[in-house]
Amino acid sequence: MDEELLLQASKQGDAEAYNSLVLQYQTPIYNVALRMVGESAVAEDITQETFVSAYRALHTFASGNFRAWLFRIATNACRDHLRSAHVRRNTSLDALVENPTFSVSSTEESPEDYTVRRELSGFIQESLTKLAEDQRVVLILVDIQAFSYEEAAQILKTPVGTVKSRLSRAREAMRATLSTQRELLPGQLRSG
Amino acid sequence: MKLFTRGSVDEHISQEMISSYLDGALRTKEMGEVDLHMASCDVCVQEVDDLRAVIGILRSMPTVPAPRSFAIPVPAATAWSPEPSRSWWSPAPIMGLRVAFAGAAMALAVVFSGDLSGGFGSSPEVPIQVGMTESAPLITTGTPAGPEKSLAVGEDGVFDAGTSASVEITDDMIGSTNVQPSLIQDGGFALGLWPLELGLLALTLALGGFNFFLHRRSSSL
Repeated sequence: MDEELLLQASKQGDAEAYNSLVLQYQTPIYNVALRMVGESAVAEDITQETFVSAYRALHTFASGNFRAWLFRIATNACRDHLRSAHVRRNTSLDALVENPTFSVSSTEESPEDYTVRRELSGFIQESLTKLAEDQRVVLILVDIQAFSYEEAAQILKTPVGTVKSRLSRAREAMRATLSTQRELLPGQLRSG
Repeated sequence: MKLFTRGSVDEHISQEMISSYLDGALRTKEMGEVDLHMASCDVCVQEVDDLRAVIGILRSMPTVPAPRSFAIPVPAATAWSPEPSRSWWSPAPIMGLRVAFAGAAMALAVVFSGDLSGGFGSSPEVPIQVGMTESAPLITTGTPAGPEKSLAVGEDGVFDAGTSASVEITDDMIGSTNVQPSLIQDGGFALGLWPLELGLLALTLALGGFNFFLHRRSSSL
């Protein structure tokens, strides 16, 4: 069914229609949360909270970009979590590298390649968590989730120019961090 | 956006410009300028290549499948019905609070300006000078301003038809330089406006602060 129709039905209290939207967005929302907070259990909680909050606030969503609205709720929930006094800094970095959910095994991949890719994935996640929060969220939205500048600006309620400058700084910071682990990197950066 | 960074002997393309260049987010003219510069600058070519590789790595990050369904259970969804069960910070209470805040602010403004201009005729300060002699000159200020008048000891001075101030000069007051009469209104009830102003100010500040808090909370959703 068309997203607009599902939205209208959801606003009328049709939970089945809303759950169709949930199924459509749960993976990207979960991935944004996972990249933001770096812990799968917390990312699950944030994802669930996002969909419950969005459902309860559906009447406030008049029209426009539902996807951006939903991701705004998710990124706000991530920020709330990161800012909460209960978050222990630097607690889960070791766990992240070990976390198998960060890599998806392929049947055509050799065990060595899988190991390298898994380590790279863990290292990138570790580098992400070292970024400033406002840079991290932009990098995740634009470079990992492939949002446009305009949509990222809509989600974050910031001007497009701010998105561009934060993204530039985030990329530069990532480059500096990644260049310290050249053995994990493919081609270009390894030789650079 | 600046094309070149400053502060170096050789000017190079700024990081932000390279970043936008790689996303194809520059205007045609700017794209041309970057291409032209890179044709003769190996440093910038290397920068562009490095950043392109970083973006490539990030974009190749695998999508992690959702570990479970996040669908809302239907019975719970019925209980969380989006329309009728408005939370306490929903728009209707916020609007009510805004009206209350505006009302309190207006009341404070009216009372305060009225008090300043003397429109309520109850200026609490009516300095009276009592001299050493029995016919000491009495100087009154406030509203309405009355003529100077001398009072004899034991004599009651009554002035101001709207709000009367009554002063009785007694022997022990002789020699003091400033005596504050009590304000008598409506058959003897003493009232100053400052408690009312203070109360309205506190109410306005409280409502304003609460409104601000609710606005921040609702807009963060």
